[in-house]
Parts: sequence; structure tokens; C-alpha cells
Amino acid sequence: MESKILDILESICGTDEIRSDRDINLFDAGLMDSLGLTELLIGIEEQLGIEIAPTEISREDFDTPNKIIEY
Amino acid sequence: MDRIPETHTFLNTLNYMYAYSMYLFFDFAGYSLLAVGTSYILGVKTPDNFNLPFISRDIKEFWNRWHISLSTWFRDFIYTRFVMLSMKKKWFKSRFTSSYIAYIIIMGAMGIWHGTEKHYIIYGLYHALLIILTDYLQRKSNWYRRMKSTRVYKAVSVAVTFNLICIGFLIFSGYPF
Repeated sequence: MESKILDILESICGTDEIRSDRDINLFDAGLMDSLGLTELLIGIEEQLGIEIAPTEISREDFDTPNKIIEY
Repeated sequence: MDRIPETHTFLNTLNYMYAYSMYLFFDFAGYSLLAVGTSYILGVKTPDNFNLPFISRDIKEFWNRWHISLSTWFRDFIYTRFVMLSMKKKWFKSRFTSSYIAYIIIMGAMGIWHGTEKHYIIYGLYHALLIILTDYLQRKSNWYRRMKSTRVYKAVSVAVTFNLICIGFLIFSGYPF
């Protein structure tokens, strides 16, 4: 699951920095914005079958690769 | 003596724009903090509604710093859901089309949320336009990519964004209409 999440993240953010720095704050670094987060939720739903409602999570839950994997 | 001049000369309007923007911020952020403080005394941690909005480098950042309760609501309940739905059902060729239409919807709704007077609607659509332009230019411009980490760019973009915000508030005040 971890590798699938990283794959999705890499294709959304367009860089593999997310693999090397798992604690990088994606929003602060400009790698993700609202659209990116939306695509991430879609990716997780389609590839992992896990449905996460946008209102379920806050930005703090999802702002680094590690936090996403943990969730 | 009239504190707020009746005649809308360019200079008067400029003056009004900055004065009104400051008034709006201090008033709004002030009473939001009143709510935060009062609720905290009662044991409830209400999140902050403003986070240094005028240091924003672009209008997208601004909306993460101004009236956070409202913009977060619009983002989570309407923007994300609309984009997810339109992407799953493949309504548009490009995900950016989904995103931009969603911005028009939420910013338009935000305008109307303030009232149905035309200056509120124009205010909402004005911000929709700014967000779309900002996002588009940031994606496409190589100049932006090169300049964005320089100190000059950061300083100038804060100043430009501040003025764009104030123009928005001038519209919001209804003064020019």
C-alpha cells in the first residue's frame, strides 16, 4: 500500500522528492494544492479502494507523505 | 467635516480603498478572535479565522489566510466534491477545467453568500478570476519558475497581492457603485 501511495503522489506532484523526503510538507513546498489533494483522494479510492470523504480529513492529516501513509 | 468624502475622485477612492480594507480586517479578525477567546474560556477550541492574510504571496495563499472558516467550508464541501465528481465522470478533458469551473462556482457562491447585491457577486467573480489567472500563470510561466524563490519576487508579489486584495475589498464595500 505504501508503494502505491507513493506512486500516486509522485505522479500528482511530478517529482520523486516525495520518496526521498517523507516528511516534506507538500502544501508548503508548493507540490500539492487543493486540486492535488483531490486527485490524491481519487487515486486512493480508485487504486486502493479506500473511500475518504474530503470533509473527513484536515490538511494537517495529509500534509506529508508519511502522514498520508499513516492515515 | 465629512470624514468619508462624498465625491468619488480617484484620490478619494484610493484613500477609501486602503482605509476600508484595514477597517474590514481589524473589525472582522477582531470579532473572530472574540469568538475564539470566549469559546476557549468555555473549553471549546475554535480555530483561528485569519492567519496574517496580508503576507500572502498570491491570491491562492490569501484564501488560506482570510476567513478560513468560510473558505475551508467551500473547499471541502463544494470544490473537492465537484472536482472529484467531474473527474470520475470525465465531464471535462482537462482536470484544470474541472478545477477552474469549481473555482467559479465556489467564489461566485461566496460572493452571493455575503448578499445578493451586485457588488458582492462581482466581488466573488473577481476573486474567481484572480485565482484562475494566478493558477494558470504559475503553471505555464517559465519566468515564474525562475523567479519565485528570489527575494525580489517574494517582496513584489506580496505588494501586488496586497493591492489586488484591497481592490477586491473596494468592490466589496460597494463604494464604486
